[in-house]
Amino acid sequence: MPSAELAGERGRPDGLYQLALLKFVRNRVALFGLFCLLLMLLAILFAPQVTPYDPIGKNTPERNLAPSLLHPFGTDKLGRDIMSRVLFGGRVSLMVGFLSVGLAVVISTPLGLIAGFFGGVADNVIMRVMDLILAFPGLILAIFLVSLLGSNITIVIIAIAFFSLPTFSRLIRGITLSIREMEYVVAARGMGAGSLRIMFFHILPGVLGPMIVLTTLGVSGAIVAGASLSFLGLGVRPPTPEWGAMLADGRNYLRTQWWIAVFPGMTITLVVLILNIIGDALRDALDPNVRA
Amino acid sequence: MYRLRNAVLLLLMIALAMMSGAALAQDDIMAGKGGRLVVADANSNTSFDPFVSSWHSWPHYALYPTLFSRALDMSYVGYLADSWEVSEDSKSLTIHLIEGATFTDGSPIDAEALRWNLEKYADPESTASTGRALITLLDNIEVMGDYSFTMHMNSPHAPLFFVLAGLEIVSPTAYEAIGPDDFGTNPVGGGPFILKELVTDNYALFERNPDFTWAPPELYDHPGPVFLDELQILFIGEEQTVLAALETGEISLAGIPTQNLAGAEANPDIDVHVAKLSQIRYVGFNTSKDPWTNPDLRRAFAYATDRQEFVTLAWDDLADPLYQPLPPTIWGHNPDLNAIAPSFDPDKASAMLDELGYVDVDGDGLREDPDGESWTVPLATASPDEWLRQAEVLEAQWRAVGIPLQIDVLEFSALIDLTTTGEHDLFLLLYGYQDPSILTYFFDPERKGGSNRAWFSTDELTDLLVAADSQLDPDLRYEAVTAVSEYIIEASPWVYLAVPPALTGVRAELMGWSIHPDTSFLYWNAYFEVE
Amino acid sequence: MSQYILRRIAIAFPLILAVTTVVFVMLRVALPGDPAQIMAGDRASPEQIEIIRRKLGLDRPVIEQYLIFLRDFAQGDLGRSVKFREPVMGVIARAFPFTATLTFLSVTVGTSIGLVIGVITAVNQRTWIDNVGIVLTVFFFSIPTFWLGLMLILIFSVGLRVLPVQGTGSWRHFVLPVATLAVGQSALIARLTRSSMIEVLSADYVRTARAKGLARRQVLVGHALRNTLIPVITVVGLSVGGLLGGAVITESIFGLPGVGRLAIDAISNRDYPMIQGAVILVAASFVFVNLIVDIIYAFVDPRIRYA
Repeated sequence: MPSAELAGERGRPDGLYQLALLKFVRNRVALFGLFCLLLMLLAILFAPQVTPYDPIGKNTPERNLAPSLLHPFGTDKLGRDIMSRVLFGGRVSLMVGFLSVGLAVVISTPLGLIAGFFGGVADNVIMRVMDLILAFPGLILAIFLVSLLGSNITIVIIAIAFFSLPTFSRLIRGITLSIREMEYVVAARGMGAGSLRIMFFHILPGVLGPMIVLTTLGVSGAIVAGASLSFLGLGVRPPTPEWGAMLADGRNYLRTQWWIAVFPGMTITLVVLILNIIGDALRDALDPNVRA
Repeated sequence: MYRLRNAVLLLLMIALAMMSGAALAQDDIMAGKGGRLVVADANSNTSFDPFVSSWHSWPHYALYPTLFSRALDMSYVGYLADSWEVSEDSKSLTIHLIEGATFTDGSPIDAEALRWNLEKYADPESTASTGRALITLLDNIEVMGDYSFTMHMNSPHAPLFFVLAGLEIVSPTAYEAIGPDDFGTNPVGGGPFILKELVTDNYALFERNPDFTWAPPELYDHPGPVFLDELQILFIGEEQTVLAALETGEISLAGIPTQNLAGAEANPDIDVHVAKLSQIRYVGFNTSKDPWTNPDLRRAFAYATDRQEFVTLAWDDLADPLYQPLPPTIWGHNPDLNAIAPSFDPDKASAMLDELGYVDVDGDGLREDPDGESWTVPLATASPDEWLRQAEVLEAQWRAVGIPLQIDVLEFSALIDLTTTGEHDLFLLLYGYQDPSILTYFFDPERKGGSNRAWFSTDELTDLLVAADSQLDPDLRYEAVTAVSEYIIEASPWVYLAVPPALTGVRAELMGWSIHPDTSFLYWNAYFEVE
Repeated sequence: MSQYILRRIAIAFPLILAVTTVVFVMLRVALPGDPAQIMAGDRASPEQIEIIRRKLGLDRPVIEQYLIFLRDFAQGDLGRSVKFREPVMGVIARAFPFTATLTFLSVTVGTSIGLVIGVITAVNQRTWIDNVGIVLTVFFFSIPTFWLGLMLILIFSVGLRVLPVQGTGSWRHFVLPVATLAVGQSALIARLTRSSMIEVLSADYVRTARAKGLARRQVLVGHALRNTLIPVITVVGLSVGGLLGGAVITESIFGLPGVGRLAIDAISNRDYPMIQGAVILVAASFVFVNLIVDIIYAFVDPRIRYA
């Protein structure tokens, strides 16, 4: 988080971030969402303590059981407790969600900043490469990566990050373009500030707000994308539980063992919902036009 | 029998020519029967040119007749062949064809046409997988008359009738007129149906061949063409979609996923037929790579595998456990061999692994390799759900005896490619066939880098395989095949897992159908009642 | 403007060529498996695989294969599909209308619904309407297409028997696939419209317009909506581009013989000419859609000039 000194230099009120924090805290719905998310993260983190069942071991007599007190989410065709698999699966799914978006943000932020700030040749080169990625059939590349490197979580993360690059870079470039022409940036340049300095200290903080929204949306998008990749057989290595793979596998049992797909599906929806609410609240909090 | 067939045919033709009562009788039989049979196929069409590709789907035989067919007792009966003789040395086969059969372009199905077809299959440049055996086998073909010819072979070949029953016969005149480029989309055969419309990757629509009267009587309960007006094959892969379309009647015939069997059986609109496929599921070891060169290690894996539990967990109890390379659905399977095959014995598996030095050093429940280093056993498998489920069951079973299995999910083409490199470890695969000669393809020293995916061969096994494939006497061949199976069980290049089920759902409105013991759908006598 | 369009089209060719070249090399050099292996079947010897490879011309150096491909491509010939044994051009030309119809309908329907929901929730920000809107849109956004598609089939085809499960042939066949794709699309557009609209509504010029006494509706339509549309158009463009290349899951669930399914099938069969054809189509449609989007920008936002 940039220091107050930087914020001051940008010509904005010192208390911008304090104000944002205050606004966020006053948003009850968002606070509740954050609380739920933390609770969920704790349950996932301490899954071995929360659930008595082994998420990957077979249990022949207890297979295909409907939800009950012993197995709140039921069991699957190998007799594995679905709640345990959802909890353990959260580790992988959330990791895929956050890491892939994190990777995409780390790579696309400088690309978008450079393209938007310098324009000209740099802009052209970067954006044409992004066009190339967009024009490239994602599916072929995903299958290509998996065939070449095998199906595992790292590949899934890289694949999702790679395809998020154009969207993220375009967005950051767009925001940079608009901020570049704002008075305070023009003023800073007039005072002789260097390009790097302007980019990091003046434009980057302005990009931060929309980036947070994009990230929360992106994380949910990545979790859903992971589910779609599993449908095509490109997921994490079984028997490791993962929400998307559980959902994809469960579609075959929709009519007979509905609980196999419904519980992981509901979990994904819940996480996406919470992330969206938090993202919205953060955006509102960072927007100086929205009063607390 | 076959002479009789000719006589019937001749009579029928005379009758038809005279436009007399026989034509009326034919109309009577056909009256009120017809309709369109719609089936789903998960693999979309390939070329209909049998010399280019082999479409592994039964409707292919709707277009083309074959020399032989298999009766319901699995014996070979004549189709285009009326009668035949095998020479003393088993190296020549003389075939007399039925007379009067024609291709749909009007040209006769005669000895010259058959010679043209067989020689084309025997061409080393042929890319089809059916009939490939003829390339090395066929020496020459001697045409003896308009409707008889003799095939001279380089050696006796036990699966000859099996091979010939699979060869689709095309019209040579049409093939040469249309050319190899376009024959695949404008095929001309002489089977029960004619291609009416092909929309690639979408559907193929066939209409009844009105002249078709030469189906083998063993499989055909009425003379004259088939009852069905049309046969349509839809190319849809998603099994739940296919099931839904069967329930709404958009499709008349479809495979039922194991977990949906009970639901389909309870549905009054659907008749369900349950059988076993002539396929197996197995795990192969790359026996050319350490440590899988050691047969004791491979056997330990077989002892660690609980096939009974495997079919319960992976196949909802609908598959049969398997302990030898040939399933009961392929001729040559010998049930007595199950007694000598490794069956589930976790203590023995553990003891064998201990002996070989695979011991759990760090106490995490998983064994380390003989050097005490961390051990992983990579199992390559395809990505569709069926394969993942089986791999997961194996992983759980083998982990119970401390084997640290790592499931590598590959796309199917990449999996096949991997097995040809010789750098793989374990692989989970299937085969489906109708003849025990299949084992030659999997354990042939010449096919390492091809279909010998276990990279396993010994001189002794090769001799046994040659003996089995060249023995024409059924009883002696059965013994020879048993010897092959016994040797393979002992050497354990594979762990045999299961014989999967064939669950066929058919709309109740469809009458007269039956399912062949080879699990193909007999549609020749099938019909819908029409106005 | 027309000069700009010409220049954009001129840029398109190297882009398409670059994508095709990358795919061409990737397929032959890096991707395991080849069509010969698949055609040869599961009983082939290495020699037999080699014969088929030679017949397909895959035994030649990659650079030579590439030059042959370029020569044919320049003459408008994409070659013959290895699997179907038909000219690639014809197969793709038959599959494309299905994909185009599906894409056009689902994006149109989805975007319209999304815009309405987005505007309604933005105008009623922080009321119960907004909250219900958020929950619903997020719910629909997070349902994977394969799941939604199967549920729709079970409800409307198997249960109510009002719509066909699969196939093509009438408008009724398109209802469920379009609905499947439109749901996700409308949720995305609704979220985007809402946040973009909120930003625009609090912008100075809208406040000014209101202060000048313009009617609420006039402000909404005349000023706010217009500016809200810019990011929405970008995303719609991206969706159209994406769907044209691969509504794979929807196509395979509803048995729609479109380009996405064709491409997936071609990849698993290593049908090189078919994959290349599909890739060229995807790249070309992306370029085309992008161009349209940029032209629409110019109409919506007069500040954008094309130099």
